[in-house]
Amino acid sequence: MLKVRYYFLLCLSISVNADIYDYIYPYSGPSFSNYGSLGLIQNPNARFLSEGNMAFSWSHNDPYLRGSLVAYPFNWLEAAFQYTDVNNELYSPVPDFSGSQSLKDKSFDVKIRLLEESTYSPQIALGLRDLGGTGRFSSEYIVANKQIGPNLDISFGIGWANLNRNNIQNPLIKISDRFKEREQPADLGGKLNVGTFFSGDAGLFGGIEYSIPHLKGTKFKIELDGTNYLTESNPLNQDSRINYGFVYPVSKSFLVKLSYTRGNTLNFGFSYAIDLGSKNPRNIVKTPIVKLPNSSVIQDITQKSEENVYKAALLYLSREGISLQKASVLEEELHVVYSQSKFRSPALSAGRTINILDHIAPKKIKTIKVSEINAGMGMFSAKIDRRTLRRYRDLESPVVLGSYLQTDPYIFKGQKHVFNPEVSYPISFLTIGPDLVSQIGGPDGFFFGDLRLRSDSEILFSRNLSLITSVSAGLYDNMGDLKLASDSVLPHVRTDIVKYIKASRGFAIKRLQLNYYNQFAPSLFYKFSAGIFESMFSGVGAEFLYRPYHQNYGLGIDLWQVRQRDYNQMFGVHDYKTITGHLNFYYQEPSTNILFHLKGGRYLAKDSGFTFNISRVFRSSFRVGAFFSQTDISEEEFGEGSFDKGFYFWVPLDIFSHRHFKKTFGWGLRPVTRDGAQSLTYGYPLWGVTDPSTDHRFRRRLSDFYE
Amino acid sequence: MNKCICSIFLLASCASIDVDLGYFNLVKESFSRNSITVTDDLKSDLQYSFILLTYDGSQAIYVLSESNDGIDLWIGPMLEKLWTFRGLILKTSGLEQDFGFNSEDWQSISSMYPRSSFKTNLSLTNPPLFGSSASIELRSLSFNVQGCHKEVIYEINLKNLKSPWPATFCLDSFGKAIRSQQKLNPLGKILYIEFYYQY
Repeated sequence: MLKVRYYFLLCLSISVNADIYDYIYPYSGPSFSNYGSLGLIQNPNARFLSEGNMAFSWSHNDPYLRGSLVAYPFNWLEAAFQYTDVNNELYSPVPDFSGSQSLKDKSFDVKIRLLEESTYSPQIALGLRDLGGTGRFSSEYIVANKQIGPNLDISFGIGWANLNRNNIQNPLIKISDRFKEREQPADLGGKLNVGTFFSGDAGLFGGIEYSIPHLKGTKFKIELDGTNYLTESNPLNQDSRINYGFVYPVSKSFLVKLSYTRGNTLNFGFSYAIDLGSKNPRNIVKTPIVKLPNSSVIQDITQKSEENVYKAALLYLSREGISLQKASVLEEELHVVYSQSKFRSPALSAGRTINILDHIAPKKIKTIKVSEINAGMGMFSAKIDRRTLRRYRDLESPVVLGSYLQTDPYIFKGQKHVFNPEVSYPISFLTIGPDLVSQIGGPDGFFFGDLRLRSDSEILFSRNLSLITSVSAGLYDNMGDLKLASDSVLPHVRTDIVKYIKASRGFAIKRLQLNYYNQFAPSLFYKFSAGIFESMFSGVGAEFLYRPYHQNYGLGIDLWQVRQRDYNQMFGVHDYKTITGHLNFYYQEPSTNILFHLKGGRYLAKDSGFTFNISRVFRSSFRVGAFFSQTDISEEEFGEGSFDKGFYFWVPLDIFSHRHFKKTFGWGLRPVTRDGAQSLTYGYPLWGVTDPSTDHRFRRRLSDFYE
Repeated sequence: MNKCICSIFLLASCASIDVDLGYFNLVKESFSRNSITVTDDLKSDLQYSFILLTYDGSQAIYVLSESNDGIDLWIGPMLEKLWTFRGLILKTSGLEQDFGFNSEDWQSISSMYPRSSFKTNLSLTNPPLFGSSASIELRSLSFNVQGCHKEVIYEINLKNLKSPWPATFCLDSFGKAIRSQQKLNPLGKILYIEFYYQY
């Protein structure tokens, strides 16, 4: 019995003291290698940051300067895009083409976790470096990591291609002779040469990462370098295979590193990682709901007449940034139709509206129903019994509330209401901010930028009719030296980008688009648009979308007659015109919130094919995604890169503020801009405008209801 | 062309315009901090005793909610709670990083502080640390320093953690706190508190 007690106490004491390690080894998360993704010094490892993180990593390991953008769409996936400045090689042997600029190499890496670490088993990951690029640093590897104690992390792996330094026989030869020899790809680059994966000689690599106690998370790294520097286009001397270095965490996010590689090169770098995915990643307290301390006094007034109810609702909702459009009292139900452009979450906007109405509505009102509209189209309705609302508000239990909250699709058109406040149109919204137009990695120079002052406006002529504009004026640029001309054999729908950038350095109109929105039925929306859609095209067109409220899919069609714009981005047009359009299928996977978007149709250069776009939206509304397209043009016609592909991310800017607003910073990158598979980028696509019109989105953010 | 642009802006200007300098405001917000100046007007407006907290450049006011046996409970704008005894923080709740001495020891702490060292269990959050043994060592006691009748400096030591952190308290002749500097977490920054008692 005494022994049992002893073991019980021992277990308890271990669990109580275990967390002290978080203080002895603060910031003990994984760190970045010189290749940009998580790893040791040169070698990769099997570690990942948590999903929703993004990182920037920079390293100088002569002759390479490397900058990487790394995303973690899942806990098991790392995706990295890199630019490497290769200082011992020219961009091109033809001086007229690129002058004396050093080579810039683009590469894309992925790493997938195969096995999660447990008490006895290591974490195992499979990675592919320099996918679909020129293959200069391409390699494949399988690596295992095991944490031993709080401060030691051991990694060991096997690599192929650029990671085969000690040339052991490829163990996969036992499976197939295909793995014996590794062929060098001889194409235009940009393709996945799957046939060469894991072929040729292999090599072993490994190392350790040691967190030094009481040094604020400083780590010592030592590794057996797996890199075969002889396979690189300009082979590098390697005096030692042992690399070592230190990583110092300036903060949890910002790490600096110093290491010694190849027995002859001192290198340094830094990385910055940021969580953008969790609900409130910056831990900023958001502005709470406007308090109504004199609720009982307001209710005394509102019970005297329905007119008072409507006027009080109009007043107090407007203080919250919610615009009452129509309202009715039908027996014991108060129904309010509102619009808003402040809250990203439909549960938050509906929750605030209902909670404010609950504070002002007279006692005879037993049920509150609210309906949100956007661009004159009904998004959804939410209805709840007031007693239930209060019970779960007191219990702070919005998730349980969900089963009592009735949400439905809503059609705004033709609905009769008692209170119809007049709106004095036109209404204008004007946003002024900076804008940076950039051209990265071309033969003329690595970075060309045009800093502009940009103004985006929206003028509402009625609920359904609006004009959106985006104009900008150049402040400072270095675009003068940009001279790359298009070599495309297709109509130059995108590759004349340099001409557009150079000719629009002063004032330019990016968008001047008139929109008319409406709906045939609660889940059937349409839009007509005309004007200047984007920097390069103007025209007319329409879009239709079927988005059943209680389902996770959508079907759409868009069709546009467009004409290419003048390079100066004013009102002139070129002769080139075309009809473009697509059938769209959307599916939102509910558990992971991954959006699959498949579209097929005719593109701007009159080529036909499909685009597959996959993105994940996190709790904060941070979105990260990637896409690729295939059309009926050959690889030769497409040119460098073989097919269109790219990635993008959207960062919701309200995560950095205590205020609620919907602004987003978006950034995307195509490794190479070509003319094939290029779509029209018009403003306010229906899928985005009808974003609140899905029950999945409302239920997913139900915890916002009482915030 | 110019006519068209002008007409758009004229149209916009004759309506109600909502100009949003969103990006500039966001940048301003990112670099600016909440700043509060305690004036006589503020004191008379608040009526109650309050404390002014300064953490990482931002400031907030917490109002006295309860006071029992010298233990004061202060409530923040987002219902954060802070319990103090003569300026010494005994417990917090609702903060990004919370702190708490074992509540069963509060009585004994109040008999030892600010005269001598004492031992208790300490719990922290973010990262979590539950009931770790802590010794709070009295390092110095000086009189009539910088407007304080008594200035007391303690050092908080956690078992197994070789990073003690200091806490400084400025008390008046009645033993009431005037101001304090204390870390709530060894990984965090110093929390400065100014105490304004008014009855």
